[in-house]
Amino acid sequence: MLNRIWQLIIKEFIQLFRDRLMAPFVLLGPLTELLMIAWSTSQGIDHLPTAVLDLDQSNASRGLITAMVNSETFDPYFVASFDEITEEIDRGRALVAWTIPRGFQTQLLDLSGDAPAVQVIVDGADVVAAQTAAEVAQGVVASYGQQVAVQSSPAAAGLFPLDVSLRVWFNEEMKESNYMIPSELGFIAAAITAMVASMAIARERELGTLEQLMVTPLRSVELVIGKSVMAVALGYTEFLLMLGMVVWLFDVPMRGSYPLLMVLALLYMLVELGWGLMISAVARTQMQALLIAFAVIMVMIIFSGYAFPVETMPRFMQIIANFFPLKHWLVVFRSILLKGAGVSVFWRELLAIAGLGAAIYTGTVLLLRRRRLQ
Amino acid sequence: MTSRLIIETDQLARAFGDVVAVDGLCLQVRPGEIFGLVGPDGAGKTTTIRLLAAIMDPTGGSARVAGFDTVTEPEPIKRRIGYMAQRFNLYGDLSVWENLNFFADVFEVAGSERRERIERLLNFARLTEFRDRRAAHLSGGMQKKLALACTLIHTPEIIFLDEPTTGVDPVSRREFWGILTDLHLEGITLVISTPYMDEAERCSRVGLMYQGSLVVCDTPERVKAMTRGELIALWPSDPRRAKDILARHGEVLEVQTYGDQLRLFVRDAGSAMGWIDTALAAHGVEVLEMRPTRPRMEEAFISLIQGRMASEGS
Repeated sequence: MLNRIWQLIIKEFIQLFRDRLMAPFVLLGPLTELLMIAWSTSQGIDHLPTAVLDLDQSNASRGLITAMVNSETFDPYFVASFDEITEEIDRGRALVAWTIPRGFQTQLLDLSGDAPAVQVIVDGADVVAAQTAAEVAQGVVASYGQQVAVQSSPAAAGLFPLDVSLRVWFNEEMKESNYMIPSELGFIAAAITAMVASMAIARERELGTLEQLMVTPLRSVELVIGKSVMAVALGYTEFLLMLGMVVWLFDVPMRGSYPLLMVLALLYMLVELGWGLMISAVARTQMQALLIAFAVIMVMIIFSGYAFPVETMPRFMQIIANFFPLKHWLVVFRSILLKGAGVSVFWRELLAIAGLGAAIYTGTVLLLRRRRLQ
Repeated sequence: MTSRLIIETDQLARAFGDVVAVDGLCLQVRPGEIFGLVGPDGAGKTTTIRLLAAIMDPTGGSARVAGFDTVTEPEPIKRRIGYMAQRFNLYGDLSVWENLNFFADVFEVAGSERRERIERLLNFARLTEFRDRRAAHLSGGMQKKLALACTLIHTPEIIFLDEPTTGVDPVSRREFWGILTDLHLEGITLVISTPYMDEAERCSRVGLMYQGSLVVCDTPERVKAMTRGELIALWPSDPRRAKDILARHGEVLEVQTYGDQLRLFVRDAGSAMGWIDTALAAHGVEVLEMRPTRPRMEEAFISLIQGRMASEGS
């Protein structure tokens, strides 16, 4: 039995490397994808093109503009009228526009009167950039106002006693890439495993070779094991390649234990392999297998907390999200990577993954038993 | 008597939803026979072969192959049979040698025996010089020979071949049948389905399938003798009119058309030779050539199927 499985695996690898598309697609495709995602998300939001209409032309207004430049979030350039601002934003040349009103300096220094209002327009079409721009703009204006007030009347300094002290743990620089890259990595490897397994069996069915194998002593269990070994081998290789790339190339911190991560990643991959096997029990052709696999993966992503935080979903959806192993795995994976946590922290997630794995495999066996041939 | 049968089915049936592909089939094959399954498309030949190869479960009845039940004991059957599907079912991206090697592996043919057997099969199938060519790049005939070689790797007692020569050129077909005859002479039992009547004539016995069950099952000679009356081959000047005229005649049992030729089953060929001439001349149709002949498998096949269809229609 072991020998037959071994021979099947050898055959699979000969076929894999003889196929001009499959091996590069499986090994290089995800690596490239991760590379691009890592590059694009590791760039912070800064140097946004900013149109500035300075109607005051005073020391105070120039001081504000300097403060704005120093924030590095805005790259200002001057415009001469409000109409121009509208046009710059309309045409997408500016993402932000500042208008400093006439009398800004006078109002600023007259502490008894109303505080001057600086108008900041942001292009809300790009939500993430707009939020950042709005927050930074408020900060710049507030701190500039405070600075001017303190300079003009040292006694007033006590009027600004509040200072928020913010500390971010585990991802000190609040780098989006530290969240995105592990998520992407965690799910690509599993998706590859499931996809390769489902297509490998569907391929034998599509080409008719499954029928030929059925008249040999090769049992269906042996066939499934042989195909699974290849799928997991590919998925795991991919996982290690991506992990190496992310840690060495993109400086994503790896604070936990490598052996723990390796073992858990393998176990998780075996769980997602179950999806692939389940799909292969249903799909008759490779095309069908691929399409079903894509559909499953899309749903997995939505409920995993990778694209949208699960915490913001409606209660019902949050409950459904718990039925996807990917959600729990991402918690485990990020805990090891960013927090250096051990099993004592995420044992609940591990239990959930194991339980869901058992459910997926039970379903797969039931489905496979129902269909022997046709 | 039972012990002398290598394949025996009892009311074997298989339905796919509402469609009954095999319906109460009772089939008996003796060791060493070449058994031919013939019948029109959709008669249930492929399903029958799959049921016998134990890769599909029947929905009714049972079958014993080499003494084992196909449902409860499929594993010992798999080691004793070879199965060659109608479609090319090997790995196109593996070479001829790799395909043979892979099937030797799964059948656990090992050591020097395996090397020697692969060489012998390559030689036997005349594929030795193509051993490194990928199976997908072989011609249709060579693919069939490779498929046959792969089914022989574990020296089976019975081989099931589902339309092995469909889509193969006549020269390759002849060569393929040469190989099958060699296997027959080695004492292997062959069960072969075919749409070609000349191939049916080469079988020890033929089973004519129609709508899932056997209409006739006997030697080719006896099957041909089952046709009613005697046969006359006729070349008239106007075959269509001649057919209409003769079909209405009381002495004529059946008319079949082959191009310009009419083949008439009549009660008595001797007397018919006389009156056909006059009957056609009365309608201005000339007889170009006419002679009594013996029915071929093809006439017998069409006659039996038409007889069956007519009896179901009435």
